[in-house]
Amino acid sequence: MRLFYLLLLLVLLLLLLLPGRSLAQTHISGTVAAKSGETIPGANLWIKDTFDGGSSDADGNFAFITHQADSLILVISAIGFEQTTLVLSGQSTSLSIVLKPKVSQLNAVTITSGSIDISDKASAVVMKPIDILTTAGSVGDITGALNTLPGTATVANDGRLFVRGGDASETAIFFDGLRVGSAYGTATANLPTRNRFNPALFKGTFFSTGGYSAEYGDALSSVLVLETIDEPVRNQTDISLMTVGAAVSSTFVGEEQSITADVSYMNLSPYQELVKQEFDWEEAPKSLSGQVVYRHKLGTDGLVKAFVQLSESQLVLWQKLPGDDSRGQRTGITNKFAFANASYKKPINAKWLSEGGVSGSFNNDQFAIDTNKYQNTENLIHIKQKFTHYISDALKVRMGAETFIRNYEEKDLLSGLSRGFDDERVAVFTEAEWFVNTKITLRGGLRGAYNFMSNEGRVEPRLAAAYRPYPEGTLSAAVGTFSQVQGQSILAVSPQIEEATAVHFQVGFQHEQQGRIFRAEAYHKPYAGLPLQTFPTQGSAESVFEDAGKGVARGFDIFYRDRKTFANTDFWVTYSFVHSRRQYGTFTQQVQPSFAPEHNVSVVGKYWIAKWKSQPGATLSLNSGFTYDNPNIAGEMESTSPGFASLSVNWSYLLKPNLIIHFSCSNVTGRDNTFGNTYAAQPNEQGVYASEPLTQPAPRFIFVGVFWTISSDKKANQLNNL
Amino acid sequence: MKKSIFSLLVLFSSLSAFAQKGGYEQAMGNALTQYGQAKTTEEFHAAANSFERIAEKAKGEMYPNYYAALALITSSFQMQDATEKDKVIDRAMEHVKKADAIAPNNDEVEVLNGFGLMAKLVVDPASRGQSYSPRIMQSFGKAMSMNPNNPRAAAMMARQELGTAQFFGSDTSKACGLAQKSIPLFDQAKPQGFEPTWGRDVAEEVIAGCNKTK
Repeated sequence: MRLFYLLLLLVLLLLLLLPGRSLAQTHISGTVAAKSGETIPGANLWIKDTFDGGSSDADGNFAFITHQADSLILVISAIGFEQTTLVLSGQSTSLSIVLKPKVSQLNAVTITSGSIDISDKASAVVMKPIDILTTAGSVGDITGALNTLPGTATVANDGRLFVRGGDASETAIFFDGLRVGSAYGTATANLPTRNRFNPALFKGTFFSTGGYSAEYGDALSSVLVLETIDEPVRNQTDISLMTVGAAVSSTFVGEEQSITADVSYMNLSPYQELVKQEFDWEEAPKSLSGQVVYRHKLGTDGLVKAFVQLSESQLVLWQKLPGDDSRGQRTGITNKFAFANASYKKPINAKWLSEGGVSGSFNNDQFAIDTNKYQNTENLIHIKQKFTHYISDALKVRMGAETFIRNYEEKDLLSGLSRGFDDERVAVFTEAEWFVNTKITLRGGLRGAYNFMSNEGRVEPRLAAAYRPYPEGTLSAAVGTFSQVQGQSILAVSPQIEEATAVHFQVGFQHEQQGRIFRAEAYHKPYAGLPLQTFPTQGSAESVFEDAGKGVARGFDIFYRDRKTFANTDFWVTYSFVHSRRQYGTFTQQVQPSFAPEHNVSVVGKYWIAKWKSQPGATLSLNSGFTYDNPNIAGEMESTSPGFASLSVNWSYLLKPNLIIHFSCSNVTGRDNTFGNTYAAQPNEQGVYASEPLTQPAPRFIFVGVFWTISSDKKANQLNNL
Repeated sequence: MKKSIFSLLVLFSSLSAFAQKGGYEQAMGNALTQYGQAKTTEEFHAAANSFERIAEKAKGEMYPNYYAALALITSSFQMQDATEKDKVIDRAMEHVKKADAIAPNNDEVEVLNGFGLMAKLVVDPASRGQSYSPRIMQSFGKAMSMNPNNPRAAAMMARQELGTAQFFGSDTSKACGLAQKSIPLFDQAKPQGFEPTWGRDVAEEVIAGCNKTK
């Protein structure tokens, strides 16, 4: 009996020592390599359903011991490769394992053609969200920062985005996937405007200068897609005091939902009292706006967002008339704007994602021009639904449908006469993106659209491809057809006019390495269906529009950004060349439009001084001048203004983690930029059309702001008690 | 004799269960040793691989995921390429998510989450600082409120606070006090099983930094 227990003890001991219940030892070793022959370090290898395994070393070699003797299934897993299994019998000491690369979004090449993803996801990107706030000259305006990017032209007396030889209306602006109508404040000729949205609302922005996805329509040249913040982290209140006004914003965060509300009041009159203006203001611009953002989680990965903005602004400006010594023309503008947006995102299952929403933009402008009074109203509703189907890691298909419903009216308030239109458009789109392998990505889409007012339907194909010749480089190309409804004031006169169209051809190269990025892209963009104005009855101002204008824009842009070469310094240089010619309006031939300077340069620099907790920055914008039509000289748009140059500087000082003081000055040198001339409608007694130069509102614009954040996070408070 | 055979059978069956469990314990023990000895990025990644293998087999266990994430996050601080760093940290955060799903509302997992976010910030402080700092603070703060005696939560919070204070040249006393406070918590901690023990060096580093500035 004693012997029995002794034996039992021995068995017990053995069992304790050997978890595998077996005394056999199997040696497994070999190398792991990719199909291309390169060895794979860091691969994980193990025997299925056991704890036995090992990793491959820097040379792809591995070796481990297992106590399993038979029915060995070896699993090999490595990042970026398909997981494989191998059935082994006994000792296997010189295995050579070859893995197939796994193609997914993670290691696929991104189509960079025309697209600029403004996010902080990757380390070396063209632009980051913070740049919108810290680029000198932008003064917190999204457009101001985007105007330093390749493919854009700074038209300082307009303030909107002009992309690759197109006019400002050719850039469609989307807010959480839905279209914004009247995205800029209303201004009069030669008065710069701003984007209506505060850049602090957005976590990321997608900006395309051409060749974009079939998801986006009604845009001839460009799309700007603004994505609001999904999940604010804490309760906080932000107070901004500026030389031009004040703003308060509060965020409350709950478990499943959060809400941000803010109010801002801007009034330029105190500033204009202090700093002499060249413009003759009767009433400086002032505005009051409020907005609310609400977010609610839908399960683990779903989200609903709702946004409302209401604003009202006013200004009264006197502008000199050519050949007239009086104070000139008095223009008063009162603008009322409302924008509401509700969108959701919800995965249906692992393979399907559903997204959609509805937006409404409501704009009302009251113009008082001398003794006349006019009113323009535009209401736009956009409804959209899309699904993304992830067929495999390497293939996804997007499909969706949308509709735009709009009404527009121009009214002469004195006579009561009005004109306008109601239009409705529908579109469906589908697009596939295929990561062929880790070096090639293809994207192809189709967009079908129908315009009920002009009774025209169209199908637009869009194709794009990217190829990675070496790890840091990307070659990409895109081609597609694009369309856009004519401007509101044109449709109000000629509602039946067909849409304008453009074809994009573009090819680009990008090299990205450790904090440096270089991009170059060339494009060719023919236009058709541009609006031509004719006067059917002689001697009458009554006109009609036809879609007979043609044009072309071609050029190239070059961009280089470097955050590495110089310590604490981040800079970028952009050069954009555009040759834009188009026949539009009353021109009898193709001319260079006023908004498309041929040569455009931006240099932006930022420098961090740790000792002073300060970031000074500077932006230099140059272009070769704006064309204008001088009726005293033969030809159309035959004159060009002197080159435009503006050097802006800024200084951000972090007084405390939650207190920032910001100073900026645009056009520091006070250079007297002009944007061409306006001319009298009739020649004077000497037979000369009198002229008046288009100047800047003031030599400089100086801005000082204090931004204070009060965080009332309960958790943070608790920490303060420690 | 019959009784003996019966008890032998009972013993055997319970032993085989124990051996299964023992396999996990032993594999974890080995992997922890491997992790403890790791110095190079490659060694950290090999250790992470070991934890990932264990996580694959022992699906209900939180610790293999916890340590796989910890090894990956730790390795990111000595890596060079920013894109590669981001990939490694993203892989770590997947394990944090899995650990959180297995053991919800665990203060150690919350500290790890904050540590991962900290690693993300370090990749690109200039552009990520503003958005990541509050999230990091929130994570460590949440861990501290879940378990006021968690020394790692206090030490990591102290490190984050010190970094912020030094950046702004403001008062470091809160950071230093927090680090001081974490030392007795490390002393009193009696880790059971695979409960983490790291972080004392972080607290000591903060204290050393505080003494230097004084």
